[in-house]
Amino acid sequence: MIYKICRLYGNTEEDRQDLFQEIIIQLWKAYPKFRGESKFGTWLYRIGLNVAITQYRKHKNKIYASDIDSLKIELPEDSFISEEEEKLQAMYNAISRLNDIEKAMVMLYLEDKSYDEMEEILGISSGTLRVKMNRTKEKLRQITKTN
Amino acid sequence: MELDDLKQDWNKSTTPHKTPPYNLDDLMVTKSTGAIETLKSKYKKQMVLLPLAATFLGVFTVQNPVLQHNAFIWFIIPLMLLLSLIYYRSYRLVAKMEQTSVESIKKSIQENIELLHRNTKQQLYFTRFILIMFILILEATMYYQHPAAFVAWSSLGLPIRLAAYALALFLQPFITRYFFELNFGRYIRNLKSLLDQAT
Repeated sequence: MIYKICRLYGNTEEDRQDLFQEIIIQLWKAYPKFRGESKFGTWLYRIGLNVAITQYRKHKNKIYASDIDSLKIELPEDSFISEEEEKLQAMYNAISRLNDIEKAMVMLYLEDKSYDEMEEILGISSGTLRVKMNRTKEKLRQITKTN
Repeated sequence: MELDDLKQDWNKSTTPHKTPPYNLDDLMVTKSTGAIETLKSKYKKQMVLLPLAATFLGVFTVQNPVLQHNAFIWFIIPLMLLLSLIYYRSYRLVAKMEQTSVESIKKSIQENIELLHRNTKQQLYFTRFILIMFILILEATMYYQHPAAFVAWSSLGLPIRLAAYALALFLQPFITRYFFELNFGRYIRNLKSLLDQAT
């Protein structure tokens, strides 16, 4: 779950490792204050996404023209990449072109979170989220079409 | 390609989501290189080093009869302590911003913007206070000790000195804002753009 956040918000493997570390540290610090008022997963997403979006700004302004490592897919033993994996990789590339809040929305959507849970994590009303989600889906459709 | 079509694949697929073999023990021990931690350690270092240096200088001066009457040293020590207070305030600000990560994303962004704006105002008053203290210490030092180090300044005459102090007090808000903008400006703009994205 944490690594999925890192994959979306980190440009390089080094970035992802730094972000992973940052999230782990923040979770470690915040855990004593966890009162169980929300689900553990919701709490974890909140901290992870908050760190990725609002606190972790290192390298954010750098442009990585071709980061081969980040595009690499580990090959299974029979050297066969399934069609699904290929599609998923293409979708990852498309998602990387969204803004930070849209990325978070898409990720939570793919994680099968309900709009109520998404509201709890993002702080955006479920009505607004539905509208934004439709717009983001359309945006992704356009991005993948042009690629 | 539709996002909904990939929902199943996203949850089924393990390869792109697989966490590399990070060593959690190492990550917890290794110093964080994130923006917040970097800022915190920078402020912490200044916050600790300045009073230590002031104490060292104070003790050294007290023990040295020649330096005991050097007004410049007694002028520098309180300034160092006041500067360390500025770093302490910045450290507290960053620590408070870090604590907002348990809130929802939008609330955290709003709280961070609010914290930074409140801090800008407080910083303006605080630096004004430091500047006034600086002027008072400087004038008192010159009045009571007539130190050689300040001869050129005291020979200028009170009206010119007062005009210079007035100019410094006039420029201080602009300078404070400039440095705040330098440190946090880009971050505030980024937070505002994030808030726009969330509304």
